[in-house]
Amino acid sequence: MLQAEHISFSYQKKQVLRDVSFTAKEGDFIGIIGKNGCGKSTLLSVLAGVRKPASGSVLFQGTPLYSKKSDPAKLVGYVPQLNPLLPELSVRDNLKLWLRDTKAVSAEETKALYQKMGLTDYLSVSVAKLSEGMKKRVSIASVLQNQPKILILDEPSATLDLPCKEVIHEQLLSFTKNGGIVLFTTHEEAEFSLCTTLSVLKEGILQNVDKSADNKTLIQQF
Amino acid sequence: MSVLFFLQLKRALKALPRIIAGAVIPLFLAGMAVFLAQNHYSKQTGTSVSPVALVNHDSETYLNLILPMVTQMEAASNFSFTEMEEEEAMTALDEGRVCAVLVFPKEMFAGILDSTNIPARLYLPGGDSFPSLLIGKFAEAGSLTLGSAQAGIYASTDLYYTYGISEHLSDIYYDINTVNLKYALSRESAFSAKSTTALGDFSLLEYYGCTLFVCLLLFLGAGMGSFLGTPAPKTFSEQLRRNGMGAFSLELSLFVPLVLFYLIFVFVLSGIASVLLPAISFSGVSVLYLICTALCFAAYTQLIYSFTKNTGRGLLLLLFLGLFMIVVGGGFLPYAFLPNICSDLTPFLPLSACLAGFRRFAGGVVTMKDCLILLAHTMFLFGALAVLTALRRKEVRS
Repeated sequence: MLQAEHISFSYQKKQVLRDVSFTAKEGDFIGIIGKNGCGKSTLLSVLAGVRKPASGSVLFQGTPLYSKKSDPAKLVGYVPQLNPLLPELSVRDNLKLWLRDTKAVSAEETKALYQKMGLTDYLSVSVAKLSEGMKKRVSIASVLQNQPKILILDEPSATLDLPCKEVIHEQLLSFTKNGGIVLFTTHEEAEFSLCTTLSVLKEGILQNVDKSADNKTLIQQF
Repeated sequence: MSVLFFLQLKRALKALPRIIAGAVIPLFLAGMAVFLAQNHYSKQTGTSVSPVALVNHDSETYLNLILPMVTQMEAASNFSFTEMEEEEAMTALDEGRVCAVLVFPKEMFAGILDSTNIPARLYLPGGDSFPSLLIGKFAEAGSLTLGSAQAGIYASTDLYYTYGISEHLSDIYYDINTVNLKYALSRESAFSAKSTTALGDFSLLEYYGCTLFVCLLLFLGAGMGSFLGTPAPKTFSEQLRRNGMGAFSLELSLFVPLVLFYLIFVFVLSGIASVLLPAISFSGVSVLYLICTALCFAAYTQLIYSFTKNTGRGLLLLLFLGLFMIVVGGGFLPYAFLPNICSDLTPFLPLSACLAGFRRFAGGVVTMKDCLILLAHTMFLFGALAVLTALRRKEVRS
């Protein structure tokens, strides 16, 4: 179980997150929506341990996720909005770079993952030559190959074409089916149906919304 | 961590063609500048030939004998003498076809011998053109030489009278004149070119070769912008940090291939230089100096690109600061033409110190002090890089 407790974060004088708390259990698929610049990416980066909150903590199975002794990257896979890839290098090299423990994951497992993500034919291709959709697949695969328990994705399907979105959605659903937790931000209405919980971030406060509500109702809550 | 180092090296190798290409164009321009400087320098030292019109109204045999001796002297090699009629010569002077007209009047030679001294006339154009000033000085020196010859002739004649053997004078008068003039004119030491140069013990090419070496390393750094100036997005370093590799590891992973590249370039270029400069030796201190040069350049290049975080801005700052330091180090104009503060500042500026050190390396007199200066610069630059990285890390985390 993942718990975010009373998280606050400010950029100098501007408070972006105010006392954000929520709980996610295994198999949850949590979508976070909100206006551009409302702090969705900041919230994810705090949950991923990239930024340190002014107050509050993130717990996994009751223990703080980001303490000096912990190894959060092992439990939490984070896919930021901008792909953290080295464009001059091949897909294989980039995946190799983010593979944390070669002993913990078998070659067959990684091979199967690359196959599922449709990367097998692109392993030798330089990332610079890939489409945005393929780059996103590589980013997600680079995280999934470490078999995390929690997956945090910042607008994973933005600017992608439909087949690409389809592949990514399949992988994320499969991840939650196997007991993983997915937290992601989105502006895509079609992705609301994937979520078990849909939350809106407004003025730094996170509130759950009815995912089946129509657009007008949702916009009013923005 | 080792995967990151290996992949950064691979990335750097992929950028190698762009790094070399980035250095070739400025190198070509620098080469052109040196060529032009050399050409300019050659003109100033008078290796180009200036035409002088010679008008001879004296039919004296001696003069006809002496004139070729004068015009073929080494000191006169910057001038081409052409015999002309006076009117034609003056027209040529007016039209700028000759830089001077030298007129020997009638009976001039006889005048030298009997001390009536009918002077030769030298016509120069208005203004202070360099060849005209030079021929003026040349004529002045010539008159002094002839004066000494004249004195010799008179002294010989007086001696004949003093010892009562003047009856023999008419028999050997011709020989006295010829021998005295011959010795006077061959005393070219009066005109010999004493080379005083602001370039020290180096020739022009050697001096600017050292500058070119440092410039080439600087331009290679500019080419490295394709590798350093466009690092992976910010999310890359964030992910690295999440995976237990901090910003320092990232900087170090960039520094290592950079040092390797610079080491290769520094040793290859020094190898080429050693063919042209026999004083270069690859002793322990020399090799240490070259390693320190590679370290210093790598730290300088990385600090600049890390500071600007942008290829264009990095390139501009790298070249601006780099060329400034090369200028201060006397890379383009020797110290003799620069304010004293430049030579005082040289040890304190990394690239100026590199240049000064390479000159000593090229002269075979590089010392441990040169190595230590560069090592201190490297440590300072890398320290500044570490501080910058730490400040940025703090900024991102908060």
